[in-house]
Amino acid sequence: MEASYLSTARFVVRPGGADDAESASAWLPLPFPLSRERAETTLRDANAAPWGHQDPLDLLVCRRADGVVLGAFRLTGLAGRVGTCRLTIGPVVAADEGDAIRTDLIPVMVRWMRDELGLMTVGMWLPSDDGSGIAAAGSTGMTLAVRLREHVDRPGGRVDLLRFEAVGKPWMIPGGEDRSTSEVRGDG
Amino acid sequence: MANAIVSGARLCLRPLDREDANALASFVTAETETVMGGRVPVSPLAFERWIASLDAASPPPDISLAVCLIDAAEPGHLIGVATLRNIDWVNRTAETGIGIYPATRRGQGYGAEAKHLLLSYAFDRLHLHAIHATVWEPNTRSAAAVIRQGYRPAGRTRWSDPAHGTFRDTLYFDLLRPEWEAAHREWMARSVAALPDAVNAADAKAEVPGDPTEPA
Repeated sequence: MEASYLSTARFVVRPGGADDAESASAWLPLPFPLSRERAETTLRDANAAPWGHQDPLDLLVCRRADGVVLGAFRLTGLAGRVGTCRLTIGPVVAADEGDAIRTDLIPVMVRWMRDELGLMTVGMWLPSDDGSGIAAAGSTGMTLAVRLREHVDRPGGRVDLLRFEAVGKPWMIPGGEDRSTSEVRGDG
Repeated sequence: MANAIVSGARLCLRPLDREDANALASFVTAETETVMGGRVPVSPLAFERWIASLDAASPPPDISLAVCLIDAAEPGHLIGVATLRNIDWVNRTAETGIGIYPATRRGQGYGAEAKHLLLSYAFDRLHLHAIHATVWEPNTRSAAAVIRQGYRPAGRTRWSDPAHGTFRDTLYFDLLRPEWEAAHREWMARSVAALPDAVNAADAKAEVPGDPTEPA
């Protein structure tokens, strides 16, 4: 079950299923433990609305070679004008593989949200020490929009939390002078 | 004041109770200002459900507290809600929000006092490290207020909500503990200076600075 338009040669992006409860530590965007039973409930709650109405929408990131779950994207606001994309990478994923996920998938995800879903702005929060994530965001044309000072705690000290934004096309609403009610209803 | 979590000169913050649902629904439904965004009528049932959800998780992702008067004329009267949203218990950060109701209560310093009480709770009791706030760009009064409270501009997100045929931005502000402490001292000094002479004289006699945010 692969969203081919969001996947790359190295990584598969797909929705979660009940079997993914056993890899909760990789996709849960929190550092707390989650039992298999709670994880399954969380997955069911996070996938309750069919036909693209789920908000937030969680999509898992898996290694293509063996299908191991490595992380997840949490996407919010897909049905509105302003969307946000957040990437969680599992705690035992090697640093270079984490960098590869960011490099491969952040541009794919941002472009999909902006260009295919037509969101006016797509935002992504990244810690200021996430060099590969910032580079990947920059490659899509995202620019720095917000800097929240010292919002991320690290063993060596605090770093800033940055919001990058990609701006799409502003939405236009046809005015009454442009489209009559009968034209809109199709009965004119 | 019953069940107060933090108390000041004119206000206290306490947990919200189901009995507050009617007042909150009345406030929101009767809102007279549009600068916070479009108005939407809300049922007391929705507030009952929301209040019941507030302490469902521990630690909670959000903390919303009732803002109540403590003066003798209207003791315990609910005039707003103070909120810490999206609390990150690992990184020790949160977003603040204050609503004062009805509109006739605004412009009297209640919002500033409620914010100082909320920040005192956030920094001194919860030991958060950094706070941020968001303000919709047209809400210039709120933007000026958070600056006075010590927040620093942190940026803006584009085109967040429509107003009068165009999309307006959301402004971000952040606040670190030392900045709040400095702003808090300044606000206390202004508050004391604004007290009637008789109260200042009594404070001077007692050789205790009048701290409007000390627990009553």
